[in-house]
Amino acid sequence: MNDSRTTQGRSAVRRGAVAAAALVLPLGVAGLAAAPAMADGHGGDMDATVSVLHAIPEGSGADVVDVYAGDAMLIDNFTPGSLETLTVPEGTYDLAVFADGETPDGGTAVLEAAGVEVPGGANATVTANLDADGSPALNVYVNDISEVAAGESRLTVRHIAAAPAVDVRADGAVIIENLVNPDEAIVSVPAGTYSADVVLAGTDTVALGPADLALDEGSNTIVYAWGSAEAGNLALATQVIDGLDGAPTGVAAGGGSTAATDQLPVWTAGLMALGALGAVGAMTRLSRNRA
Amino acid sequence: MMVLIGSLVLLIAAPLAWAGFVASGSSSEAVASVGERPTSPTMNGSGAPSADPAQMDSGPDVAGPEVSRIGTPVEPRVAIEPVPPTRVAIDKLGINAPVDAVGVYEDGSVEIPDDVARVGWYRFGSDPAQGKGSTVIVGHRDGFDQGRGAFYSISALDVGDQVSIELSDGGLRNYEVVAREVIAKEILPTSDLFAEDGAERLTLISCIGYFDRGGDGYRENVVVTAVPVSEEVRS
Repeated sequence: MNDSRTTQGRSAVRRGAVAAAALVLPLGVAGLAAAPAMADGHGGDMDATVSVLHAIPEGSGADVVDVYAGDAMLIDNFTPGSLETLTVPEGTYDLAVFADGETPDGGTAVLEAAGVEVPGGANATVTANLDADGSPALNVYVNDISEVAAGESRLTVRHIAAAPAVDVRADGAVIIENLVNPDEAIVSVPAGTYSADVVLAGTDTVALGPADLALDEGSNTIVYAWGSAEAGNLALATQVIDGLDGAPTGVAAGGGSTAATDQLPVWTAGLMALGALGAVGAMTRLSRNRA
Repeated sequence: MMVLIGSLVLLIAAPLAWAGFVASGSSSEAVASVGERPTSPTMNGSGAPSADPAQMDSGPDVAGPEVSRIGTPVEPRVAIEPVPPTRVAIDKLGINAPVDAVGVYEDGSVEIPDDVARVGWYRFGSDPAQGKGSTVIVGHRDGFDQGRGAFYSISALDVGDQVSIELSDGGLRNYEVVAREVIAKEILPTSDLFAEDGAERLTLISCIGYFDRGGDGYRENVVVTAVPVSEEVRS
């Protein structure tokens, strides 16, 4: 865990129920990595991958909702804790969440985010969640689908709960510090299964977990802490993006198990010594013969 | 005089013999590349296949005017449990070596079993159960104090030669060599060789070529690519 790399910050853009300003995926984020999808050769008509997570706890007025992009329905009958992943054509979308049965034609949105730019090849997750104060919010996160080094796994943690700052621990060691709603943190760790828990920042007070967290090689495991501390319904949701495997850097398959490959083995030294002795002996005899 | 000459020969020949052993006449000039290795498509990184648009919901369950739909649901990819190779056999060369599951060293290169009589299956890559991609098995050419390794002679494989592997579930898979290449380590196309996508294949990798004592050992890799042999052909 010592060599894990951490990035942390406010890459999430949050808008409340009355949001009117444009919500734009930050194109400059390194993790966007639109390039790989271009290999598909779709030219200008590329698709993007968008996941939507319903992370507003039951009883908050959004128990069954429909998600719309403009006038078109994206997700039907969406319930708390659910995650849906879709491919959509690249474009700019006005996202809105309506109570089940309500429509953009005359209905009033529970949540909306206008002008969400979704470039081709992008991989993003939209969360309907509570902000730190417990009000409903829509967040848009860009998922890091860049290559993961061989043997490594990427862990992304997103704080979308009505809860104070937290630390994330793996096998007892803090790997993410002081994460607040709606921020995310990304770390790279050796692939494996860890016992993970979430504690109040700077304390040993466990808020969530511990739970076994299997971090597979070459994947980005995105863990969401959602719910409300006050209501006592904090929970974890997990999204996994795989197929990000980086190849090993090489194959050093000679010279065997010891590092001393730049030295001659013992048997050559022995034979050389034997040869040297013989040479000295022969010279001695030659000189005697001459004498 | 004869003793002197004999001794001098021994003095000079012993280190040369070792040098010859490690280089063993199998420089890149001695072993040419043959055949053609199938290449892999670029990974798309989307993490899941596209779903069939025909399987989309027909529409929302709301009454009234029909609501249009957008987006194609992506079903989570169901992971296939790996079936690791446990032995690799190459009858032509008298090779029958146990296979260990291996990962990577801290420098990111593939882990190789210390015991040169054993070879390693790259466990972060593909395996025969996946039905696609490259199952990679790496082995030492030799060991400093252990002599010849299991893959010492794989540079002698030719197109058409047979390779078989035993699997942890008791299964046996047969392959036929389609390419043998000698590639400088600096330009080893690891993304292709270790790809989990593309044609199903078996990739054997060892070392070969000039042995650089002051540097990193052998300067080249020998790469043997084999493709599955259908049962019909074998029977």
